[in-house]
This record gives sequence, structure tokens and C-alpha cells, in this order.
Amino acid sequence: MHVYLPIAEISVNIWLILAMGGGVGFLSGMFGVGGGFLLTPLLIFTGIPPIVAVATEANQIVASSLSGALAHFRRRAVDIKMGLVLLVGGVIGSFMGVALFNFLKSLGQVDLLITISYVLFLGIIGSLMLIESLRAIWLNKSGNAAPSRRPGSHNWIHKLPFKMRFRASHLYISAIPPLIIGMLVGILASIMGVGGGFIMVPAMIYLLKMPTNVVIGTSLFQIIFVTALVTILHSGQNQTVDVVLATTLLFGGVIGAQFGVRFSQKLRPELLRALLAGMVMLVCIKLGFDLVVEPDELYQLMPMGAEGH
Amino acid sequence: MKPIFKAALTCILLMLNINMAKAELVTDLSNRVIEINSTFTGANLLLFGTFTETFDYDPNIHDIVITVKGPNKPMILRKKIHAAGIWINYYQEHYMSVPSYYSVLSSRPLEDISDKPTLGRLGLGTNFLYFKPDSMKQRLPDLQAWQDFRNAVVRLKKEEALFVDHPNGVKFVGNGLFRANVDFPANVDVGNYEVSAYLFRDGKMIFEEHSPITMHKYGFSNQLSQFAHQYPWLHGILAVLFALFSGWLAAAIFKRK
Repeated sequence: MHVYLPIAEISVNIWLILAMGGGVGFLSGMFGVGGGFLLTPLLIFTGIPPIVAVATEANQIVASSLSGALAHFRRRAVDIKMGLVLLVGGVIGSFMGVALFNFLKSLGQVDLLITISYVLFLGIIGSLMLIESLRAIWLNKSGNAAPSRRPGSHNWIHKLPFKMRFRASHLYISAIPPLIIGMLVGILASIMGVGGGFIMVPAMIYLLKMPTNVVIGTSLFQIIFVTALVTILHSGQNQTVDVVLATTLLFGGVIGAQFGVRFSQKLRPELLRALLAGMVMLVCIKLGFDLVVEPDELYQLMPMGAEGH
Repeated sequence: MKPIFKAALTCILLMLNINMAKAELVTDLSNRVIEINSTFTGANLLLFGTFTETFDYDPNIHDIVITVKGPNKPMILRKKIHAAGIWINYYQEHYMSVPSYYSVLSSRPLEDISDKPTLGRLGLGTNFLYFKPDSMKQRLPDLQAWQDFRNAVVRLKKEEALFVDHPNGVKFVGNGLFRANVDFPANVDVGNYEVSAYLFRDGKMIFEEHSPITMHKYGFSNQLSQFAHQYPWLHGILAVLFALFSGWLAAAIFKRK
């Protein structure tokens, strides 16, 4: 069954979109990641214009991160104050990201910006995860438990000014690092259509040294607002948010996530991480391959003023 | 001119049930509307026509060409080049106006009907469509590139079925009655279109008639798209509110523990 996407302006097979949403939702449930960094490239592979894929993904992440965050709110596993500082950075970053996005759009280079950002980030994250998980698997096999790294309690971050107290995280640190992390995530959200959890969560754990139990909830809290802002900015300036597509993806994603959560309990965590890393690398290679290999069509025709439709 | 040949070439838009038996009635079509549902694969329009009784139609010397042309839009065409190991957009041309839809139907291949100067002057056929470039923004290196770009516009539009050459699209069904079937894909633009009919005699255009039609889309997905383009900021806010509601609903449905 085909459905016409009003903003992407193409007909797509609704089952394919549901399956993609479901598949990535399954992975999200299994690994506890947002999945935007897999879904946006998959949409691009389907033929959805990259600028529509990015903006629509941001819209879908608003929904998926809220449904994820609600459970953490109920358990009060959210550092609201830290979330707000991250959010201030996120708002600044979103405006910067959308401005860069629109500038490159006017030059006709926005698809390149999106693809290169993905190749870069997926490549780095994927290979780090792959190395880490393979090492854990190898260590497990050889009988040694993986050394649980206990990061030092003080580093250069504690020497920065503008200190604030974050009670829920039991931290007294400068507001600058969370602002910068939030800003980076805002830029990524507006350029790549991702929540940015894959950057924020490790940064919160290793750089800010936040307690693990509030990390996910706080990052989801920030992601809801940042992706909401990015959705509004993209819709307002580029008219690229496709609600039909976002809703279809969400529907598949919600169901997929339920199965993913259950399935994950049957697999060893380091094996799961190795699998996810493998998928990330595959998507990265495919995107990079498309950049390097001569495309079938060298020309691209677009309406003036509203490129990408 | 017209009285000499008494050539009232007429189109009857059966779909709209309008009989344009006389040229003077052409304006009757001005407020006519084609409605297509954008969810479906497209629409088609059947054109019927005939000659007035006094016109002496001879298939060996007379030819008919019908064009349907959609709203003109400014467009940008970009071309990728291989640079630093990757393929990136480099050359570009801004066109002031490119018809978003153009189909030409004729009783014979156009080049058999008339000569190139005539076809070029009338802009008949995708080979003779002219797109005015924005002279302020020209960046193409040479005339060859300019020609390649123009041809690429036509090729890309043809691939989307938005430009169509139908060399045998006008069919005679007997007694001087002819018909032409025009297909519109689902992604046609809404707006004002012009249906033109040309009568050729020995390669010379002896009569032409133009009538406006309006393309209208209906259906949920079209309303959504119009809303998104007319009120983009409000659309963004509503998209977020809807996402928040969906997210809450999903959490409520699958609340476990």
C-alpha cells in the first residue's frame, strides 16, 4: 500500500516506512539509544530528500523522547537544573545549526553537509563502540572481567568559573561544560535530525561525572525541548517537516521498541553493543560510498527558494 | 485569417462536459477546474475536438497539436563534479521560469508537421521550450554547458512525467472527430494551466486557440501540505504538539511494571 507524503512529495510504501520505524525502534529498545542517527540515513536511502529526512526525524524524536522520558520522570531520575543548563546551550546550538544549515542550503551544499556529518559521526562512534565491545567480548572469553574504570573525581573541568550546584547529580561544577555539550547537541540536532543522546550520555558520564541513574532521564529531558525547537525552526524556515512520515515512523518505532526491550534481556550487553556498532559502521560505509562513487544522476533540479522539494 | 479557413478547431472537454463548439466560447473555460486527489497516482484529462461542418479536413495536409502547460516557476539546476575524491554540486543555473508541467500531443511527430523555425517560434515540443536564465546569476562556463543544462531540465522533468512528448497523442476517431488523452502525475503543481490547440496546414500554423484551466488538489495530504506552506511556523508548533501527544499516548499504552 502506497501513501503520498505531502512534504517529501513522493509516494512511499507504508509497510516499508513502518518496518524501518519498527526496526530502528527495536534497536532503540534493545540498546537504549534514540535511533535518529540510523533512521535519518535510512530515510535518505529510501529517496526522501535529506532536508526533509532531518527535519522530520527531529519531529519524530520529540515524540519518542517524551515517551521515554516519562518513565524517568516518574522515577524522578531527572536532574532538571542540569537539564535546563544543557537546554540553554541546546537552544543556542539549534539556532546556530539551523543558520549553518540554511546558509549551505542557499549554496546548494546542504545534502553534502548532512552526509559528511553522518559519515564523520557514525564513523567515529561506530569504530569506538566496535573496539570497546570487541575488547569486552575478548576479555570475557579470556576469563578476565573488564576493568571497571573509576574516573578520577577531579579534572580540568573543576577549575572553570561560573560554578553551579546540581543537587540531583550531587555536583558542584562550572556551567560552561554543560552549556557547551548542550550547544553541540543542538547543532547536531538541527543538522542531522538526531537527538544527540549518543554524544550527550557519554559526555555526561565521563566529562561531567554525573551519576548514571540520572543521565538518561536528563538527556531525554533536554532532547525533547531541543528537537521541538529544531522542528519548529525547520518547519518555519524550510517547510520540511512531514507529519505523515513522522507519525508513521513513530507508530512503527513504538511497537518495535517494546519487542526490543524484551529481546535485549536475552543477549549479552557487549554482544549487543558489537551488533549496534556493526550496524552503525554499515550505514556509515554506505553513506561514504555514495559520496565517492559517481552518482547515476549528476544534475539536480529544484524550485528556487525552497530547495529540496 | 480566421474567416478564410473557417477553421474552428474545437475542443470539447468531456470530463467537464463543456462544448466549445466556437472559438468565441473559449473563455467559458476560464473558471474551470480539474480536481485531482493527490493521494492517488494522478489524473487524466480527455480532450475531444472536431472541425466545423464547413471546414474541409484533409488528413494529408492538416495536423493538430495540443499542448497543456502548467504554472511557471523559478528553478535552480545544479550539476555535481568530482572534486577532492567526492561528488559535490558545483555548476548551477538559475532559471526565471520553467513550466512545472508541459505536455505536447500531436497527430504526427512534430518534426514531420512543421519546420524547426516554426516550432521554435511557437515553442512547441520539449525540444523547443525555452527557459529564461537569470542573467545576473550565470555561472556556466560555455554555450555547450548551457545547452547541456537546458537538456537536463527537460530530461529530469520527463523522468518525473511532468514533461511529456506524445507524437501520436492526437487520435482521429472518424468523421473529423479527434481526441487526446493528457496524463497528470500525482506531483503536479496546483495553479493555472493553459490548454492550447494548433491547427497546421502544410506545415503552416493556420489557427490557434488557448483556454485556461485550473488544477486543484483535494484530500487530506494536500490540505496538510498547503497548511505547511502557508503557515509554516504554526505548522511547526502544531507538529510538536502532535508529537508530544503521540509520545504521551505511546507511553500510556505501553506503561508496564
